[in-house]
Amino acid sequence: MSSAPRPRRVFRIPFSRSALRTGVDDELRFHIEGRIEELMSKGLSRGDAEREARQRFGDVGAIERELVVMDRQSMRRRSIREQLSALAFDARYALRGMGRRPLYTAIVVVTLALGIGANTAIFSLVNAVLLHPLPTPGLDRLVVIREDILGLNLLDAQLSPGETVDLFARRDLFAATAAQSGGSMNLTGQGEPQRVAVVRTFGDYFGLFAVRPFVGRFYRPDASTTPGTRVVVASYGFWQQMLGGDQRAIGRSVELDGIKFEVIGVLPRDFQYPRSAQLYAPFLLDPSWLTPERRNSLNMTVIARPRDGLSAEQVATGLKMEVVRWHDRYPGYDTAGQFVLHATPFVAYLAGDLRAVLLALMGAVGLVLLIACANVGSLQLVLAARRAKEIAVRAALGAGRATIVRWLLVESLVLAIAGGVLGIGIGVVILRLVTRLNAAQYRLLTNVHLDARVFAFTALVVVVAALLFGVVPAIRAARVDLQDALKDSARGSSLSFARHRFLQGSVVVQVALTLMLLLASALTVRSLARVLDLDPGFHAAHVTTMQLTLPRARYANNAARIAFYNTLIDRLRAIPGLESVGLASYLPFAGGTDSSPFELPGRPAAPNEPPRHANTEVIAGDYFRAMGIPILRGRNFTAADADGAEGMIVDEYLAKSFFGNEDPIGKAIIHNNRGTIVGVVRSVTQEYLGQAPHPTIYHYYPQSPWLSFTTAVVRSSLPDEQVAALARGAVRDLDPQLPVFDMKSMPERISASLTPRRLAMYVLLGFAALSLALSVLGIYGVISYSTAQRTQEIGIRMALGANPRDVTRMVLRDAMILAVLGVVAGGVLFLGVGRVLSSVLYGIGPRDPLTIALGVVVLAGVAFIAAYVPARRAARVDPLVALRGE
Amino acid sequence: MTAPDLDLLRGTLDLLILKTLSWGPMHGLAVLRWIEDVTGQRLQIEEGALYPALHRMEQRGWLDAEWGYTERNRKAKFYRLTTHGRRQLTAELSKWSRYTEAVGLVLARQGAR
Repeated sequence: MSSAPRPRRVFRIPFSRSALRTGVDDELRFHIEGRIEELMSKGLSRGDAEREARQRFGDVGAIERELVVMDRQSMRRRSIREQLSALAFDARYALRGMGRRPLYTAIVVVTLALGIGANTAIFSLVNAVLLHPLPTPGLDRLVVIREDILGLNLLDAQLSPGETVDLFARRDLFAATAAQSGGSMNLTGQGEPQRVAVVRTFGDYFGLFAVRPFVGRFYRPDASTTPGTRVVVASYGFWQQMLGGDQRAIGRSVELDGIKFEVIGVLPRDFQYPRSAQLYAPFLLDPSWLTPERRNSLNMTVIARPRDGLSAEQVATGLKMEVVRWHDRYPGYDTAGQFVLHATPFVAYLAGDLRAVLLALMGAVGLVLLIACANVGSLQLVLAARRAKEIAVRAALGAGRATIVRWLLVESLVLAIAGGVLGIGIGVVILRLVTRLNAAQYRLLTNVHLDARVFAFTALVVVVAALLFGVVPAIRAARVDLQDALKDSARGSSLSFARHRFLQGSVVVQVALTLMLLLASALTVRSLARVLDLDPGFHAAHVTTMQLTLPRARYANNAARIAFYNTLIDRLRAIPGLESVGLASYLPFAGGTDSSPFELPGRPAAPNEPPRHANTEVIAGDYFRAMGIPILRGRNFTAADADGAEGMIVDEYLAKSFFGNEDPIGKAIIHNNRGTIVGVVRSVTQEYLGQAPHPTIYHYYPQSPWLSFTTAVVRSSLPDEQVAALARGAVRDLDPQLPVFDMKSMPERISASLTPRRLAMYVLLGFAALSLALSVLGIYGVISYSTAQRTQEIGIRMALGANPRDVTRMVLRDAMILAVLGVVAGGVLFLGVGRVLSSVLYGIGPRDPLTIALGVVVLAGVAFIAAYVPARRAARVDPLVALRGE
Repeated sequence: MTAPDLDLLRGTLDLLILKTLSWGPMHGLAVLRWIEDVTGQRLQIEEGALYPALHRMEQRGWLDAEWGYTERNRKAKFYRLTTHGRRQLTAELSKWSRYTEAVGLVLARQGAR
């Protein structure tokens, strides 16, 4: 048995495609030749041997093709493996390098971490609010259907149950539909009585959101049409807090407004919609809801999933046709065109005004990242110049340009990954700050956490950052002059002209982007100041408010409710320290209004008159005094208004709009009832500062006793908590079963309405400060470095008679040219893209000249200071030392 | 030339190649000759199937291939068993013995003809 020969290794298996084919060819030819020789040695002729060999082998061509395909695959796999191991080598090398330069590495990693962390934090908000607010698959396909009644200036209103039922029937438009009606009920029998948010659901609500019970079961969609269904499903939070998170809570009952409901199931933790919801119960559809008269009781939020393949336009057209149908079927709708049904993406509806804020912030963090990258890029370039010798050695040892670029890019990537890891930590801190500042007002922000999507985004940011700050320095560094670099052993080679340009460019970029962030934050500060300057029409200070609702079960008739309210007001008034006490149905800044048409008998509508439609406000006690709303004309309500013809008080806006200079006192008005105007009060802002005014008519509660809910308003110089405790005590004395909820001071309510503005302002301010700090460091670093490079030149100048002041001026001038270029570039860019801020600004345009001037001055000043320190140092150069030193 | 009396069972080609290469690096033709010599020409290996099998095993990392020169100074592609391939050989051998054992049990059973 002859042992196989040991092959001498000649060259690696070829990698190129044609070489592959030749390789396969050679291998097979060798085989067949070998066979032929074998056969010929057995006595066959050349021709016979060849025929025999080929026949034994089979289809050479086909096998050859098969082999080439296989080899190509293994070649690819092998080249990937080899590249990975080269990358691993570079990464190890980079880590060793980082260890040798701990200070430099720390500066770079922290800078990157700040930029990346800001992105991680804001993206996780965007992710939680805009991208993935609920775990429902295909959430982005859901739409909310709302109506605009243009004639009433009523936009994005809910639908009536009748309209909802009609939309549910449009199976040609919607694959799934459901609706909800918000509300709250008094929870009793579990310690202190409480107000809980109960969502009434209609249609296959849980099915639409594709949610499954965490514990227990859900009620069926037809529960709405099954009278006497008394079941509730609990949110995860309610189950934890009120039911002890106990599985056995299923089947227990809770008492709501004095009626027992059975708890049949619990929603999973990640399904929290609506954010405030605590319990879900079927909306009980009374047939009376479907009469044409009740089609304007708008209380349902309709959510639907359009059929697959339907475009937004097709859905819009379908809704338009539906409105036409309703006009035909139910006379009394507003004239066509005044009434519009529209579908909004559910996710956008959910995000509300946070959407614009978050998008603006996302843009801002993009700028922060660019600044960080420009900063690190210049550091990397300087470092590469210092390491020219190290790079030259590798080049001399045979590393090509591509290898060196790859090596330096891997170093950048390793730095960026370190920055990303630290950045996630920083992001978590930023996120905590942002959500803690705003969570009280924004339930959307309560459940923000880092998930796989956020980590993927961060990874992407890391790679982008590494490329942004790494590519140019790597390419520049790879263009190394071997001779020069290796010979010049004393110091790293000085910067070439092109490299200098890059450093200068990075300063310009940093200044430009910082200016944009400064301007954006200054605009939000100024617009918040403007909003705060707005007069809501009442004096918010020292006003404490709280809500209560009388359950119909125990306060069934008007007399019972009036008696309760009267006693409550008397009790509160009797407490020393409570200066004035009032009740109102729809307190300003407490959310919600009730608007309905009114008539002015004998006064035909003027051509430019606004629609005759007013907010209803039912008040009691000293409401105007408690709120600090001045009575401009006429009088306040008196006990006499409780009987006989109804007196109504209108606001200034209504008086001006419909009576002009005429005195409205004594004029007839029909709003729910027929009455007379007895007074005019100052207009108040109803929902948020800066809102357009809407006519308001005040009714005296004894004449509108249908009211079962109310907000108590107390003016007192006592501390808010004390007032709250006193009021709570008074209510408990009257009815221990009655919860007092939503206790807030009036300034708190106004402040809460400003949350999106404040969120935008704080976060932008923070990022502007951060980028200002980064670019100060950037300017300082670049100027210091370039003056250090010019030590010799400066020494010559001084030896030739230049005085220190000339040197300082020269350095400063060079620095300020860069600053001015940056400011101009940033200003021009801001004029271009500042428009995205429009929706978060109030009373100030994105091109406000004063703000822009201020930003420019601040930034130029800061740049001057950052350059002044190295400029002074340059002037202290001793010419002798400088000339000898090199 | 004697006519071969046995067709190769499917899946055993890999095992034979691995076992053959466990003696040392060889080129394809040598592998073929080795098997033919050892079996006394009783086993017919389809020559066309040999090379795809070799390349496939190379792709899987069981074999390593290098170009080299034969004793007669001809350029040829030599295959060598990798560590991974050696492990694979052990696994295949035990599988094979379990298989033949099982088949043997069935065939050894005396039954009615």
